[in-house]
Amino acid sequence: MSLVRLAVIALGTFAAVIPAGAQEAVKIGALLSLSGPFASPSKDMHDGMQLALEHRGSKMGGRPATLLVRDDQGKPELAVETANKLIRGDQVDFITGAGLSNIVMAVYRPITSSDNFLIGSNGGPAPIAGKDCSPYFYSASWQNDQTAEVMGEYLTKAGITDVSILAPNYQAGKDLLAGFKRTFKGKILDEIYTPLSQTDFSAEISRVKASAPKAVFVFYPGAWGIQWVKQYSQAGLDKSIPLYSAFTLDEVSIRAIGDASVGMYAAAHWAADTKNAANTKFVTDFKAKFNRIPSAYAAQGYDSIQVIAAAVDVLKGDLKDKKQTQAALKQAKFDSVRGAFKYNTNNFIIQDFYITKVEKAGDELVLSTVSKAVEQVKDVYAAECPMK
Amino acid sequence: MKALPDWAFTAAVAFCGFAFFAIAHATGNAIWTDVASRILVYGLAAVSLDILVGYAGMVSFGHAMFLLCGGYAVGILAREGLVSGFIQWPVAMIVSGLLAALIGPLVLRTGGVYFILLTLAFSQMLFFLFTGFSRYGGDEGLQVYPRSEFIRAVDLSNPDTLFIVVLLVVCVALYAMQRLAKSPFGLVLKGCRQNEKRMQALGYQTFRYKLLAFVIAAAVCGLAGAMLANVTGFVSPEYGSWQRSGELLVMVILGGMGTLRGPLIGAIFLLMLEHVLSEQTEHWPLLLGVLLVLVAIYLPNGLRTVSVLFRRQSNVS
Amino acid sequence: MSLFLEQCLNGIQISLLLFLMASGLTLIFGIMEQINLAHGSLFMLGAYFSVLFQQLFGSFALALVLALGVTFIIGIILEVLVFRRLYGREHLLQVVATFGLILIFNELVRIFWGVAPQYSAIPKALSGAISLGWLDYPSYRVAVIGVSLLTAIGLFVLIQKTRLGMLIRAGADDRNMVGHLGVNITVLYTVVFGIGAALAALAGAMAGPLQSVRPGMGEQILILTFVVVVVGGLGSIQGALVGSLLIGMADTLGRAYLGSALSFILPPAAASGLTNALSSTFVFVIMAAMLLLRPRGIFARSQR
Repeated sequence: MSLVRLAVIALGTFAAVIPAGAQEAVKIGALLSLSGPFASPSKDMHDGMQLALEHRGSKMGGRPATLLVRDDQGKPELAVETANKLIRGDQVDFITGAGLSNIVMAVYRPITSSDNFLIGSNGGPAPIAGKDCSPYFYSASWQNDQTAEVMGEYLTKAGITDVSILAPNYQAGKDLLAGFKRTFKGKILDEIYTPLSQTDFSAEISRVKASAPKAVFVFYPGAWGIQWVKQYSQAGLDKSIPLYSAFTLDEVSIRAIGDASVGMYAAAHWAADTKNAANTKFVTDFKAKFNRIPSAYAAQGYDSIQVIAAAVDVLKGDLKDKKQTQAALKQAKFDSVRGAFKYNTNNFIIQDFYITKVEKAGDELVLSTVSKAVEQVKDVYAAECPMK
Repeated sequence: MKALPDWAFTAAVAFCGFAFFAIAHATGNAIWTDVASRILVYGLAAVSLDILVGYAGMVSFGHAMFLLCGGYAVGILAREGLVSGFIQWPVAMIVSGLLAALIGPLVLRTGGVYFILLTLAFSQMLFFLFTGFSRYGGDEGLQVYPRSEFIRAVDLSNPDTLFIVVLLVVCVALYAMQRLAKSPFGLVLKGCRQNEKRMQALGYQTFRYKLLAFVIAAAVCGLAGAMLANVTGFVSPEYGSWQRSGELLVMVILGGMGTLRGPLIGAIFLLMLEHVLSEQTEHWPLLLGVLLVLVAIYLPNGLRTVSVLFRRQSNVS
Repeated sequence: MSLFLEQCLNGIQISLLLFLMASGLTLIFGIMEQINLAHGSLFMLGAYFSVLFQQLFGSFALALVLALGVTFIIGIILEVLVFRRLYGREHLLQVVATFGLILIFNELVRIFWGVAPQYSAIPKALSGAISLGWLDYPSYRVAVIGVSLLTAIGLFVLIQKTRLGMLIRAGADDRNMVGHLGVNITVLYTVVFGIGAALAALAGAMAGPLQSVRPGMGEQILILTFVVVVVGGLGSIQGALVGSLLIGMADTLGRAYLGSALSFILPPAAASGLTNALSSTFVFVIMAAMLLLRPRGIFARSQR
């Protein structure tokens, strides 16, 4: 039915589109933390977005499309300012990116309450999935808790009875550890949150070592993760206490960590070896263009543009009616690199999650899929979201 | 050439502000008002710092702590459901003033480089304390939502309205501070900067004067913080970082300390330069850095030195 | 108990890095009466150069030495071009000029190395843990402690036993007098500045593998260094050592034990947040208390 409705909408607006300067570009603001600790994941997101645009010949709904890339340096206050500039100055049609969850939280209200669209490429903080959900926000990634929930369940099944868990002290860190605790049935020995500015973890590693848990679960994205894993193995703990993680090991960070990461487990919604036609094309072309294996961040960046493009195509480039744009985004149909792609009521994706493991393939380190952990799950906050 | 009287300078600032507003709208660059609001707020903060640095000779390297204080006063009140600006803004000023009254007696016991470092220490304390309040966002900062509410007609979530309000408040505060600087109080402060011992010998309790100056400067800076929270819609501990205190000092130096007007011009110059340069090259801090080094070495009186040079030349010709 | 000892080792390692920073800063301060905010930039440059030379030559030790040398030269150039013109000027101007230098160095680093963090590798031999009898401790951190201690000893010998050291001590006490005695004070200043820069670079190069090497990485440690210098007494090397140990240990142990204590009364996220806030604040409380109770620091030099 919705397709019929969309077709009617599309036909109805078709006439209006042509005279309204169809050649004017669709402007997409990419708010990325290109400097700071989250620089490498942000660079991957950016390259994924670029590739998606290239795959569509930089066209959407018959109009040219451009990406306006802005660096927020990983600082929420700067992100707010940059988002305002994108909206009021550049008058973009969509904003995407917003990698770190605290950045998402900071720009969320300024963007959505002024009736502008935010397509989240990474962080999915709990409040946005729940009570503060908005028809102007669409995730191209996941809700923060989900990946950690998968890991918590996996460790419970593996018979691990007690763990220490650590994360940076910010929105995503709290979300992930909350998610882990939701599904992990054993005992939590330490629950430690480190300041965002900290990359030397000696005191925390000593604490973990002293409590001697059966396993350690961490969430340390980007530069934090590289330092955490390196220092963990320097302390010799990788041999005695297995390290499990979410968003800590990615295709970029495992190269910086080196062999110390081999054999470590992670949870993810996507891996480079996820089997579907869209993903094969994405991974092959990404490798060819950027000379490296894409990370999940790149995949999310790629899908962010795909979501927008799918909507703009349906609308034939006419973005004037915000309600229609909302409907088009919600129904976005495209070949996602993660396979099936469907929005839940809170505009987060219903999708599969996997357990992955770092392996050595020749000279290269790769994250490969071990097993599918859960199929087509929804996040727990959707019930709190008033949208239907 | 005689300097403009205070009322005329203030009127000129207001006029330029409105003219700018009109031009921005006429040329379809409404976005400019966002930048301009920010510039004015920082200008006010720099002017308040000048009372300390330029008049009383107290080089505070922690003045941004009062931006933080004022900003969080608004942010926290808004978070707790108290949204009236008639309460928020005065509270921001009072809390900042109280903070200054608390640490003032301590920092004023020292002078020179120790004063610089002690003000830095206190601003860092405040900075780190705010990173620990998880209820108010901790490290991540706090959204100011909704904006301060005044009367129905004044909606600060509209950037144009916000600009006008900021402009008017800054003009009033600027005028008040210029008058203050010319009052006997201001003259005593100037005396302290030149020779504190002599002022004491003349029977002035310089400590009291300096403490009062510290409190007044803090309250005005707190007001700037309250407005900044409304301009950005966000407060974070970053507001009180030592880098921001440094930037305020830079504005004072660039504009010429001990003039009050200078720091306002300095703030406008610095932030405009930042704005213009950042559109040209992403490496603009490099140019700014070079400028600062050159100014510190060759133009210790700030850009005022340049204007004096021009003035002499124009007199000759 | 072994946890406590291990936390003490962590504290000592951080303290010694702080000392390397503080010794240079305190000399520059004591002798030239110069506030140098750019000292953290020299720390950053040390880290970046060591990464660069590692990539070029593949040896960590060689990279360390080269990074030291290059930063020493940069320090001398800086002194001649900038700092020399600021001696005896208002502290305010020194603050502004060195603030400008921070911007310049951060941006130069962005231009040459990009905005993404760089990773300094640890030599294979030091990549694991070493047994210290009662506990296993990362061998790299042991090496950092060792090198810092050796450097500290070398510095004390230099200052107490050599002619240069005598001049430095004299300069910190009364620089005018040293000048009047016919010592080439200009060269002395330049050399002291170079040494300070090299020490900062050593700290940066060794901290590189423990933090990520990124623009602005020196600014966090810079502020702590100022605290150390003030607590120890401006111009005093002994003071810098004592101050570093005090601040480094307070920071590490505060973080380690306050957290466990607070987690009994607060939920973990709030406890962690408050722990970090309080232990960071505590350091500045020490500094403020010191300035108020003993304004010239623990090892105050005699004042003119």
